[in-house]
Amino acid sequence: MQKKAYPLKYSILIIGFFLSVFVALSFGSVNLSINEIVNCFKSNTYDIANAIIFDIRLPRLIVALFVGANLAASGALLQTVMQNPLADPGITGVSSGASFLAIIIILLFPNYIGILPIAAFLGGSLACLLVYLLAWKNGLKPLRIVLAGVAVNAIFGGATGILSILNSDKIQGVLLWTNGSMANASWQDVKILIPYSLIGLTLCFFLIRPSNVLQLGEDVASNLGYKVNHLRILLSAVAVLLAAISVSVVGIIGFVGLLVPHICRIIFGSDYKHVLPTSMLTGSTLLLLGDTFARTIASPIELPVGTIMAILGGPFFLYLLRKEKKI
Amino acid sequence: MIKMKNIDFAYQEKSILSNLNLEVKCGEILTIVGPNGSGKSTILKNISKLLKPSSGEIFIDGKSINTLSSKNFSKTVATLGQHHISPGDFTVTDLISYGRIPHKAWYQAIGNKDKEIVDWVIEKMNLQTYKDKPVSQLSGGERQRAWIGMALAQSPKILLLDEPTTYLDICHQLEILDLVEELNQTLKLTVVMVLHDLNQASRYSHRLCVMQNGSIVALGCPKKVICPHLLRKVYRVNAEVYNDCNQKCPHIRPLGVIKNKELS
Repeated sequence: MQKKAYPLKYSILIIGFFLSVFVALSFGSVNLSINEIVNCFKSNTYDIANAIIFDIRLPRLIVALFVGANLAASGALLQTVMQNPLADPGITGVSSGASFLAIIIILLFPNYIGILPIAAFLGGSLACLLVYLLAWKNGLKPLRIVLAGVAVNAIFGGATGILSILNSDKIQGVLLWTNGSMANASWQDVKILIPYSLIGLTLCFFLIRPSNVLQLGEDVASNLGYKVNHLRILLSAVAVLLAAISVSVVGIIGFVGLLVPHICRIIFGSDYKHVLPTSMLTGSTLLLLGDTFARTIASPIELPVGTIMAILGGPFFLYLLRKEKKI
Repeated sequence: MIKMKNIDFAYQEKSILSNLNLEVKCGEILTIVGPNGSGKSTILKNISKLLKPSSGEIFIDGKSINTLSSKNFSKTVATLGQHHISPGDFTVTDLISYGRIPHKAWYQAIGNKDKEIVDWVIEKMNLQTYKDKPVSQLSGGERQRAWIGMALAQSPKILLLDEPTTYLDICHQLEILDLVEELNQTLKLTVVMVLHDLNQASRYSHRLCVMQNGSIVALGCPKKVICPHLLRKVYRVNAEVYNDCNQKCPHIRPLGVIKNKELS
């Protein structure tokens, strides 16, 4: 492993992260300078700059940070547990499963909006289980997982479509949400997001060793004293939790979970000791930049960040499909 | 050391092993040979808990393997399969270090004592010059040594090897088998392996176990087991068997395949 340059690479990553935080706070319909931003945090007076930062940009920034980290970590875990470089919460159908149950709650049981994250988790777990059941035949084959993911995505996508048409009067908000947008991110979202995210992200750090061992294949993991099926369930559950909590707040944002772990693997190597933390940081950075881009590029129209990520991620997915010899 | 008692194993309703009884003695090298599909690898996988027998029980040191926890089991038995996958950038040292995992609780890091063992394994496997190289960039023989190194780092009492010489050239084949013999002699490791080459199996094993259609048809020291009659019966091959005076083991010279009608 290219161990020598780690301090430099980590420094660049962290500097990039803080730059993206600055960019996200600074750019928008009103551009703010560093001084203005710093002043906002210093003074207690409530002016326009203050309102922009604290009511709009800061909650949105925090949501983007956690969602980016969650999705990237979720993708990294799914890639090792499914032994599949193409796994990510979007492609495997986990996100659409989570979003389906979440939409049921939003449209049909708006009184129970409080259990949205739990419903999303159940939906994601159901989708994950379906993918395993469909793809399992003497072990998991990468291509079969992608195909099963397509099927599961279609099932939940179709069901979501029917629900939307039947409830077309309330659909406006849902539409924005299924495309993955942080336009309405509020402090309320931050409150829902943070506790579950912290649990999920912390659990990731306990899964570094098993993630590494699974990269050597099931038989090796078993030879080293792991119960492979228990390990699968554990890793999948954490991955689903991270994806589901993100979906329940911002909707489906694809490709972050696919793109980011691969970029990090190329730069930091395949050891999950590096893959997981760097993926979290890179995921946050990428989503922050993507979101800032999405809300400024066609201003005053805001694009959903999910579409931006899809435009970036689609070609990358095709590139991986071509490059990967195993498939 | 290992005792398999009345083992049946079926895969998708197809019987692979039927009523198999086998005892492996402590400190011996036992090699399982037999035609393709005779159930050789299946025996190894059953011992290593990768597959679960449909009926019957397997004991190690008198204890049923079902009663041993996965972790404790992997401190006693190290298995090396036929196919290896590893991410392109894992180094030899990384790989061998993973062998220490069974000895660590999930929250424990690899410590200094483990590092000493890893260094010792690297020396034993003659991999000093490659220890920081990615496993994927090694030649077949070196790569196989690295994987055996991982098994050795588990500090096992029993080593199970499934066709450890497949895909290697003759020099690397002998190198691996010499290494296995050395581990057996110096560390008193009990070795059970599957080999295809009968001459190598005879040369390097204390006992041979010959399989056919899921049953053991011959078991014992190579001199007693290997004979033209057995080769005709099990492999459908006409062969002469010499006694190799230097190596003190039988040597086979195949003459040709027996056609189906000759057999009947």
